[in-house]
Parts: sequence; C-alpha cells; structure tokens
Amino acid sequence: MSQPGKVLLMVGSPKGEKSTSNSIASYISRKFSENHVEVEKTYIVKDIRSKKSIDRLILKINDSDILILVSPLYVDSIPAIAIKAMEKIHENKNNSVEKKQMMAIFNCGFPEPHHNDLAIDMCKKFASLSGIMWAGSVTIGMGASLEGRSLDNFGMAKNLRNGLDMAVNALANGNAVPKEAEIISSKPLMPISIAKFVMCTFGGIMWGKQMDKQAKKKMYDRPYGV
Amino acid sequence: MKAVILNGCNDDEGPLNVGENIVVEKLKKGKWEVETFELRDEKIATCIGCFGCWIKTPGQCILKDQGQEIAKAVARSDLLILFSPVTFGGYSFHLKKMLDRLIPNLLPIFTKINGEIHHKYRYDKKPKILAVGHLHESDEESERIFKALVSRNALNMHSPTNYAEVVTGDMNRGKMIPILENIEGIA
Repeated sequence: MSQPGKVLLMVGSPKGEKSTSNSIASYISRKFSENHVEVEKTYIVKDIRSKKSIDRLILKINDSDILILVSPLYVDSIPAIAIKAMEKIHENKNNSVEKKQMMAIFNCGFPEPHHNDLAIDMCKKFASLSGIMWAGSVTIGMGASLEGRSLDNFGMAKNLRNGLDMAVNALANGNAVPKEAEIISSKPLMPISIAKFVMCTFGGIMWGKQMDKQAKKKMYDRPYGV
Repeated sequence: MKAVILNGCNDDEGPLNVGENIVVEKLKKGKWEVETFELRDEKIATCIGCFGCWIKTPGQCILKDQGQEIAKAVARSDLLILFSPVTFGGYSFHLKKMLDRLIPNLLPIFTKINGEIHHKYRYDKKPKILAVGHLHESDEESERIFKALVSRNALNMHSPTNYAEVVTGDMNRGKMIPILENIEGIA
C-alpha cells in the first residue's frame, strides 16, 4: 500500500482535551507529523453535538485514509458518545470508505489491558460492517495514571511509546500495525501483580485524596437505600 | 420483586418491542413490579467521565436528569432486563448512554473477581441481568460479542445471574414467545 494522505485521530473520551486518550492521541499526532504524514485530531464529544457537527465529522472521515479511534473503556465497552459517532458514520458510509484503514486504541483504569478486548472487537466489527480495512489495535491498562501527562515525560509509558512508534511507522509507510507493536504497546505499565496489590490495598486512600472532607465521609454511602 | 426494563431500541417497532411486551406480561403474571424505560424518549445526558458520582456526591451522578432516576431504579431492582439492537456486537447508543450512567452504583474502590480487578458494588442488592439483542441478519461474531459483553457487565455489577439471547430477522409474537421462555426461567 502507498503512504497515507491523511490520518484522522478521533478522541473518544467525553473529557476531550483533558483526557488520557488525548495524551495518547497527541503523541501519535506528533509521530505522524515527524513521518511527514498529514494528521488531524478531532474530539467526538464535540463532533456529535449537532447534525451540523456530525456532518463535519463525516466530511473529515471522507477526507482521510486512516481513522484512529483513541478512547477510554466505559462499562466494558465503547463510550456512548463514540457509539453514536460510529452509528452515524456507518449510516453515512459510501464507496470512499473502501480504501480506508482503521486502528483502535483503548485505555481502561484497571491494570489488566484485556478488559479492553471487547471494545476492540466491536471496533473491528464496525470496520468490517462499514467496509473499512482493519489496521490493528492497542489496549492499555491503568490508563488513568497517564491523565493530563505527556507520554514523553512518563517513565512507565516506555513500552507504550515504543509500540506506538512502531505502529505509526508502519501506518505511515502504508502497512498494517505489526503484531509486535500491538504486543509491546499493550504491555502493562507496571507488573500486574504489584498493580493489583496497590489498587486493592490503597485504592480507598488514592480515591480519598481526590475528595473533600465532606465527600470522604460519604464515600460508602447508599443514597438509594438498599 | 422489582424488575427494571431498559429498552435501547431506536424506534417503537420491531421484534424487541414485541419481546418487551411479552416479558412484561410474563413478569406481571408472576406478581413482579415492573418499571419500563424507553430510553430513546428519556432525557438522559451522556456520562462526562468526571467521577463526581464517586468523589463529589458519592452514589449519585452530578447530572440531574432521568439518568439519575433510572440508576436509582436499577439499584433497587432484583432483575435488570436490557433490550437493544446489536450494534457492532454491542449495545445501541440509547442503551449505552444509560449503562454508562450506572457507575454511581459502584464504589470507587477495588476488589478481585476471579483474579481480575473490578470495582466493588455499592449496594447489597445486586440485580440479575437478562439481555435480548436483535440482529437483522445472522452474524455469529456479533452474537458472540453481545453475549460476552452482557457477561462482562454482569461481572462488573456483581450480578448473581446473567443470561443473553440474540434474535435474528423478522420476529412476530408467535416466534418470540418460545425464545423468551428461558428468560422467564431465569427471572
């Protein structure tokens, strides 16, 4: 395959620019630019606000060769806003999608990256039903630890960076994401057993740090009374 | 016993709406109290991912709309029934926008289930989950994803039992009744 003309990075997080997904998308965007591939980033949370903005999203998709969805995992699956965008893209599919490729990158708060697997399967199914070629995927655990940080300055993200570099290089040269890139970038940010111990033992303290005194007292409340 | 039905259909026609009527009739015959939500008609904002339901107003979403009322109904239910067109193997937007709003019913803290990390459930009462999906044409992969998703959701909601069924093509009442027999058994 030839080098792609344009890459569209779709950030699927409702938190938009302030999200882990955007940190990852920003890193990928820079890497494509370094490979002299035109890249555009779009925020689905804004894209689905009106019919007009959905139409603009469809135009951006029609204008791109590679679609990359970068998204958090919500309730074992794709966030509702990204499902809405995918429903609309599927409804508006035309012949131009046939030469497009799609990649999906999911991050979840749990340490095990495999929580993301079903969301990836759904993206593959979306691509297949829409006539888009599947290019590959990355699944990331403990995604919340990346939030608001640049991937460049985060030591734990070394494998993720290396895998994403390989993925971008492949896509920029018209190839699918190598399996090796998927495996390297999906390696846990820290050993799973340590992450599980920390989360189960200190999870309450970690969440408590984000709460004010009043809310902390109510952490275990049952407002619906059962 | 209380049952909550979340209907994620995009319109009020089609096999799932027929199925919903059958399930409601069966449950009412069995003296169940049934609350039904046609999600396409409800004012429910999509989750904004703020975790306010864990760190600001624990147990309650900060978005004051019907999503909060439905989360309350689910917390008090014994049985949660989901209807959805199978959409890329998963749920429709209408159903997913509500399921994303159920995280107030979980606690932020973690536990291990079968060695995997999950959130703890906030309440003692945990609903069984039954789901019915509809596909226009048979598609094994979509069906596999749908059933696996229901099972994963049940794990995360600490549900004692879950069951998923996918129906295909045009379905009238006569064809639908035997398919839904299993659901009555689980309930």
